Amino acid sequence: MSGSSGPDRPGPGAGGHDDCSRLRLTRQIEAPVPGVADALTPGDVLAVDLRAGTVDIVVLVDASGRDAGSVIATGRLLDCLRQGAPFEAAVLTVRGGAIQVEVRAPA
Amino acid sequence: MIVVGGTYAESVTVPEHHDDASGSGMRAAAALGPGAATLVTAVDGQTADAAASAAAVLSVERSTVERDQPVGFRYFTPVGDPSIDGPGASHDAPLAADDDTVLVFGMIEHGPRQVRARTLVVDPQRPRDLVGLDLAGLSWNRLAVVANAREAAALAGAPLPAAQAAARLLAQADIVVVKDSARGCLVATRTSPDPVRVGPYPTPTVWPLGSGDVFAAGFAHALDAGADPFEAARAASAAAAWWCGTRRTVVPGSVLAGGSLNGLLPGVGPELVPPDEAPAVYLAAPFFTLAERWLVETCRSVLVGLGARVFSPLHDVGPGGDEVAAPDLAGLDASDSVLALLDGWDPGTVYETGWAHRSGLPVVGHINSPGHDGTKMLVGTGAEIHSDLSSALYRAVWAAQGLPLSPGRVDL
Repeated sequence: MSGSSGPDRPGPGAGGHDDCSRLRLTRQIEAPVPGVADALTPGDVLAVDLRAGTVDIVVLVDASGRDAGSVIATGRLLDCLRQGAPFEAAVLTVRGGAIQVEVRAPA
Repeated sequence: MIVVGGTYAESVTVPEHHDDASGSGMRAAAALGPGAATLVTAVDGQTADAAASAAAVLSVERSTVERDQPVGFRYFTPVGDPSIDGPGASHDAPLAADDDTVLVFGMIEHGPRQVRARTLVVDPQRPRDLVGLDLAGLSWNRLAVVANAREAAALAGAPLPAAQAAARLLAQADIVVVKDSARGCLVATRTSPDPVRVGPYPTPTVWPLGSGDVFAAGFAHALDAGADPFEAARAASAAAAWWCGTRRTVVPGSVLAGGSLNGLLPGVGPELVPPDEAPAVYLAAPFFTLAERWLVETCRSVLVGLGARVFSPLHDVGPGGDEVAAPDLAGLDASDSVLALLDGWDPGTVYETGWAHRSGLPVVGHINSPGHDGTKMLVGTGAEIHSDLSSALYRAVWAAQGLPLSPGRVDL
């Protein structure tokens, strides 16, 4: 196990990359960026970026480097991203303006 | 507008990968759009990080007090009652709010409240052990209670049907809304005490977990904007449909204002007008193994909770030999729709779906892999096949109330 510098948080996933590689979350894209998010189709893969600030948020970035929107993170996802674990978001469904993605470790 | 409510971790076993950091208060405040409502809530050191991140993503302004331990809800499926982590959580500082309209959710945490509102909307949000309306620390000019049918019966002090419970609750509130799951809701006011039913807006898929939060948010928001309680309930029903069909947290402003979901949510139906009598659903399923019986018990219980009468061969005829066929099919003929649990391809279950089709009854199926080759005859004869159990259950009840199905295979 690595990444012991992460926050002291019980439960699975606080231990490091091994646990992070198994983390999967189904999410909707929140605050979708017009002109970027509405061009997404099932099968597209976005980068998952931890955007640090007063409060850290998770932003999805398309292949052209444009923000597509955000997803609501769990504490575990935030921990993993802070440890440097890589994630991607694959578009599962697009229904109207609702875009569902799966956040996961890259294959 | 202010929302007073919980910020909780939520996890679901089936379907997988749907863990969330939300809770009633966060979800309701966020549903109304960036900056539309302030959230007054309690957080702890362990979950504050994810909660702050979620609030930032959703542009929710918050006023927080500290609680002494995390609180979380663990669901086996979105249609079941949760296990609750941290039931003894408490906060010392009061949850304080003062505004024209305040929406107050029941919370797991124990602690003081100081809430003053011209219009106060209270949603008790208690899955079990509800014995009375907790109004400690709350003051109002106009009180609206929004509760589900089970909560309303508990508050009424008797196992009454939703309409009677709503009427009785008018002794405690100016406005009563009883959420009746797949049958919409009932609205009663002291000036119009006969409950009026507002129908649901059926969606192609249904994620029910959190739909009550969004409903309450939409209702309070519409009251705040000047809608009458019946208009507000209709907007709330549409807002809940948006959530159930998309899981997008922020409800479009036009929907909150009472506008149509058409063009925003593909496949959504118009308002379904439920019949007066509860619809009858035939539960076609194998019940040979413990797992199969468990699933039948779960589905029967949920269907009843959704407002349906259920004919279950296991419960209403029982196991047996050749002699069960005739009473099973008599129950099928007397039903309005069929929910078929197809995993395992039990011959009896498949036979019943064919009988149902020949009898003109709509068939909704649940199976883990809807793409299975065996679904061809079902879909080809008008059935909807869902991989998501919640969606299958709701669609079966809606079909029993006259919703035309959309033949096909549907994943969540």
